[in-house]
Amino acid sequence: MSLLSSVSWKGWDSMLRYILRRFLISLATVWMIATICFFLIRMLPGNPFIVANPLDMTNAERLMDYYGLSDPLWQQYVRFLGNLVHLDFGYSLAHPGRSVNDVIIQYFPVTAQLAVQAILFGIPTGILLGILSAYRRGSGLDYGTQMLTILTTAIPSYVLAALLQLLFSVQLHWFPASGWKNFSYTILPTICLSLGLIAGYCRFMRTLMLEVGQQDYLRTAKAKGLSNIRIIVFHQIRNAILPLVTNLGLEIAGLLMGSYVIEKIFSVPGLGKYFVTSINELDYTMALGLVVFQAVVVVAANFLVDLLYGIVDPRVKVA
Amino acid sequence: MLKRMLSCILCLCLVFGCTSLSAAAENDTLNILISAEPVTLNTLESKSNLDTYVFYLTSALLYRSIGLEVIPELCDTMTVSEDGTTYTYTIKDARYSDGTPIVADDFVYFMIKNYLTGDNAWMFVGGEDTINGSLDTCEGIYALDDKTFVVTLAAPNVTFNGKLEIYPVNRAFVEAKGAAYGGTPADLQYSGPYILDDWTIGTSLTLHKNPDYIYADTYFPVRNVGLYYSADISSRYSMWQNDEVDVMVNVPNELVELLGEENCNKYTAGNVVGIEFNTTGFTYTEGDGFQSRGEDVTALLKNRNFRMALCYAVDREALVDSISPSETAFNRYVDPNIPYGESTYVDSFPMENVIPLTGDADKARECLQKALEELGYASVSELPKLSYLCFETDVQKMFAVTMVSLWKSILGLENIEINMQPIQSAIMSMVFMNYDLYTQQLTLNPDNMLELLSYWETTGGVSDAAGFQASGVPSFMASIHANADYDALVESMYANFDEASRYADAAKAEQMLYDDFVFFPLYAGGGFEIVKPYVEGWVNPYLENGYGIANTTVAAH
Repeated sequence: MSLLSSVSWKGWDSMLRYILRRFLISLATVWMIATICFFLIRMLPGNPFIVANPLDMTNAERLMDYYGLSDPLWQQYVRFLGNLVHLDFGYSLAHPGRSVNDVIIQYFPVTAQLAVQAILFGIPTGILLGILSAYRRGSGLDYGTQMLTILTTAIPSYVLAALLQLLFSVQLHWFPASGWKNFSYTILPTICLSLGLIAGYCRFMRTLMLEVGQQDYLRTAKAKGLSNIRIIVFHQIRNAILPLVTNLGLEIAGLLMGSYVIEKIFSVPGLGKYFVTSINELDYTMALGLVVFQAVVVVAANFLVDLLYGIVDPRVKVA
Repeated sequence: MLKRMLSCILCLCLVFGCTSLSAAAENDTLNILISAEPVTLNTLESKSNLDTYVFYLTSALLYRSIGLEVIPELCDTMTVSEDGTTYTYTIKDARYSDGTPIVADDFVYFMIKNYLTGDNAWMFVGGEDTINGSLDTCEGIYALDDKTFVVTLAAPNVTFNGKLEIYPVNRAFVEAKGAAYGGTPADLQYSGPYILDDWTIGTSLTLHKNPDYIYADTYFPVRNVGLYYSADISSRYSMWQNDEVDVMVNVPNELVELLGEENCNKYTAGNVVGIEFNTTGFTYTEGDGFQSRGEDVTALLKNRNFRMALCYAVDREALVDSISPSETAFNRYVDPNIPYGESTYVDSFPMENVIPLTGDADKARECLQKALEELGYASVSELPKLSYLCFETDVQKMFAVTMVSLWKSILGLENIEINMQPIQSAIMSMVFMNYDLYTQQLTLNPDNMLELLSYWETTGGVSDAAGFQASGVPSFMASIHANADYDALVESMYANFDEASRYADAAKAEQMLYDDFVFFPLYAGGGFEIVKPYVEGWVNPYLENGYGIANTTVAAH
């Protein structure tokens, strides 16, 4: 009994150490990204207050002083780090009255909603098509699926978006073309985001299924008299899906960062569009706040996937 | 199973899709597709003409219509002292939408915090003390009581009459909100015809009628206004065709042909775009101060015949029509919309010796030959290199490339190189005078011609590098035009309250600019708008300071 407890405690202890080590590395990563971006964005020419009226330099200089942007860069950096520790990213310079925290709170759910919808629709569809395609290899379904995935991968998302708008909004009048009011406004951007996922996961899953299909243990399973369905579901898919989990982390993180093109075309108030426009407008506080937030999202997503990998594949253990 | 799932999804989509589209058919809603969203709705920080939509949310003391008629909104009476320096205003009984009464101090607060700037502080008694001391009060701007406030000018000034868009802003409300003021619908007080329900940046602003607005029963019959923003041209087209919007302001050039030019209304928005020449002869660099751009370059740019040759070589009508049909080829230095009598100032006071909009290649060569003789060059191949600075945008790029190509083919000039930069970088290069030619956009207040004419005055009385180095005037203020007679004429106009005589002086001043040929005007900025047939009484809000929809109705459709 005491031996069992000590083994169990040893496992937890190494897991906690692992989590703590990963947490510290994550913190250092976020700090490095924030620091590099802080100095990079300040190297861009211009200042945030002369975009609207280039001739109004007096006002621009007054605002630079007001926001402390005329102070030495190291002082601004120290102030930035101080605010970062308190998770206070300050107020937008381009949109007075909007705090960066409020923007993240208000618009991250929009990006997240689209990402979740795209993942829920795109990944299972892609996996399902990949399985069917591998199962019916060489059939019309296989060729059709392959052609579809190549097409959706080759056509840029802004062309796909325009085509979807023309078909579903202008011709059929089924869905609104652009804006963000209710669920109907999310359908076209979701389809647009999902198509890439469907194509990618379909091809990936097909290849993995075919690869796993050559393994000896499947022959053994067949020899044992298991049904095709049981073999596919419990042996082939289970083993083929492992590499997808690794990909999933980066995919989720990428989608949670928002898609500038999709958000711009469909006027979706997500973080992706905000991020790009904040850099164009030299909105230092907004751009840095979003960079730090997105760095946290990416680091956290990778961390979670690493943990998830251990659950999906019992062979993976903390060294 | 798969078929069933797909059918369910399709049905759900149809249900949601149809639900949303039915909203567009309501007659009490006007949906406008705007071309750019506001920078801020903070009335005190507003710094862009894109904030026009703030006019829907706040009342003004007085405002000027497109016809420059002064229309009182919250102003009850305005009296001017005999010496023309003291203005006394009384205000009407009115409230913000939260019930707070609008008092005279609200206008005083706005004037001190927004209207009074380093550029115009000299105009008001005590103005410079307020700016220099960052004070919350000003000796010349104060409230006598809740209904009356007084503005005292240091000297009679005609431009004060031209800028009467003063809005009430409650000091206590702003101080309570702090930096959050104007950020979200809850952080604003509404005195205008509409209240903001939602502002989703990059997507839309939705407003509903303010029942407490002083003219709520008389004007602004539309109950709900949706302002939609889309940066994508194909989305704008789809929204229009899908009846998601009733009006599209600033129809992109690419869509004008698709939608039919005959269905679109063309308007000019009050800015003049053209080529500015760096005749100062210097560039400014931080640390080193003013540096010469080279005597040969300066002599060339200062040569009037050379500048005119560049203009004569270009058929501006054809150029503008082919590159950006929403703009109007323009030959003047002022806003085309300024009214005068029954007509406009531009039509009432034609300029002499103007270069035709269609250009004249022979005349261009003649001017260039004169310039070469005056400067002592034997051929164009000896001319120094010139840098033509412009924004890295499609339209500016096409204008620059086409003009440089025209100058090469008509005049044989191969010394002009395009320096295309992202907008921010280009502006900074302009600020530091790091250009020889620059595509300048002069944005004007349509009711104040003096604002533009004063742009060409000799800054601080100095116009050379040494003078600027000594004066400490920032480089962007450097005079690219120096003419003492012109300066005197423009200065005299500030105290000239006789409109006819002032406009005649303006024409004289503009003629001087034309004779000196300081600027090569290309086009008057503008655009197309398209309105659904069931929308009646629409006036472009940009031209009417946001009051364009005061009488707009949306019929059943």
